Amino acid sequence: MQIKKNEVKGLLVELLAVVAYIGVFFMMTLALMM
Amino acid sequence: MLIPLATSLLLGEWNPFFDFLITLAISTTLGLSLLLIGRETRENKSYVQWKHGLVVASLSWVILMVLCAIPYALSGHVYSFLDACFDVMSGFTTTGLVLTQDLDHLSLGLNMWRHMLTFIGGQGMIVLALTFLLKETAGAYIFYVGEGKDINLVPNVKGTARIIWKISLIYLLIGTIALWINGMLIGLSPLSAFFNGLFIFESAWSTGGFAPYTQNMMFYHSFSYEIITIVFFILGSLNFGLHYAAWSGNKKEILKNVETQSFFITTFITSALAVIALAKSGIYTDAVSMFRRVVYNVLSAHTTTGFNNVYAIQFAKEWGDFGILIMVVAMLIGGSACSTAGGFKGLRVAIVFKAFIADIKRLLSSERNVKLFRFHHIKDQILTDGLVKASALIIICYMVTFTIGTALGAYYGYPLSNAAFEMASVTGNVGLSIGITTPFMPVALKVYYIIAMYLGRLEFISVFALIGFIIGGVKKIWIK
Repeated sequence: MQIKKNEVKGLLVELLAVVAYIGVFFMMTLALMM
Repeated sequence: MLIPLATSLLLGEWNPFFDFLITLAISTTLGLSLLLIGRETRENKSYVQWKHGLVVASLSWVILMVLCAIPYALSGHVYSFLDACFDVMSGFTTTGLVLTQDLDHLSLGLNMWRHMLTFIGGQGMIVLALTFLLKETAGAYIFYVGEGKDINLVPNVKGTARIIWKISLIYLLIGTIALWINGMLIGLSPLSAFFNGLFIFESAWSTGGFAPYTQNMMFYHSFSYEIITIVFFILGSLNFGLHYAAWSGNKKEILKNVETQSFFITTFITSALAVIALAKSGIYTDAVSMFRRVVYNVLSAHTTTGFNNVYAIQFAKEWGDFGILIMVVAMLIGGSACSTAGGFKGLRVAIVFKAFIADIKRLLSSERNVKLFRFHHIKDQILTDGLVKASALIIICYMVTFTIGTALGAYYGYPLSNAAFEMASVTGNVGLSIGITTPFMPVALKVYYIIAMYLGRLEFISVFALIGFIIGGVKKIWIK
């Protein structure tokens, strides 16, 4: 099973997108609790 | 079965080792017998029709459920064989409801078995067979569709199945390492941290919800552990087509895809409403505990994972009817089509919603104006009546299954809100429990839950084909 450079980039983008998504949800919780 | 067998052997767990050996012997005997029975058909190279594919896909799940339940039944951790079948179906369908008793003292071999079943179930048994076992793939696409996965990442079905497994195995490596390191940082021994990391990743990626301990995610008492699981259960609930597009360099697809847009909107609304409702009740007083106890559980419900970090009784006693209603909606919507998630899927919600808006626009525009409506899912697609009808039909099937199950729960004396919560969890293949799923629940409810998990996972059509095939066979025999 080979992993291409392009696939690593895509994987990192996906991980980053989900971390950003979690960040948005945390900010939303923070805002609603204020 | 060889992996849990090897685990038991290496760790010197002799009882589960022999349980797996017995199961392996029974499965091999049955497999060889079926090969002998079907020899004539194989030699004639009979043409596989759609009905055969759908029936084989759905029937294979039932046979595998019975065979895979044998190690559970032999372990002595279940009260009956039906309970063992329940747990296997819960694993295969990535639901995560548990009837196995004394999870905290389960052997590592059996734990490996439980979590492997949910991991394989997430990807699909046919997909597994196509990737690693079968050489001939004639008619394979029909079996593959029969299992509820109808995406073509590359022109041939075997290639698509391989891509699905490649994505899953790469994430398995990353996720297990991340959870392993985090496990050691929170005080687990390296070996225990490894197995916990592996098991929790398998559950998270498959949106399964199994955990090696009774307390589920509460056992770890770790915010970072919870954050890592959120990352992987959200990734697991995304369409494999989306993963493939992102990995092939089409990164904008993540933002453009109608399914991710729908997922973001519905998760945001349900999480915000749950936070508002529970802030009003004053149970969780700061943002971190609100995020950990409320947003985590809503996301776990919406992605149909089923990890929980509050007790079942807390949902019933603290969340109130409004909180339960939000969870029911989240569990029914579920994750993405062609992912490891359940529910009636974000894509169908988006299609029906877009069709609704399109109808309103048509009403407001001139009768002479014929307009095509489009949506973007991997590529630009036209919103046809056939597509809307198919999506609406599946949503109706889910709702009917959910309503019957809720009524059955209420009939057996459970409060309506609790019956609805548990049934949404079963229909959507989620795995969160409000306390109904126990070995002492009525047998009819157990059987209905098994059927509902099965229907929800295979998305009805294959199972209906199997039922039709059986009725047709009985009719023929009756006429003869």
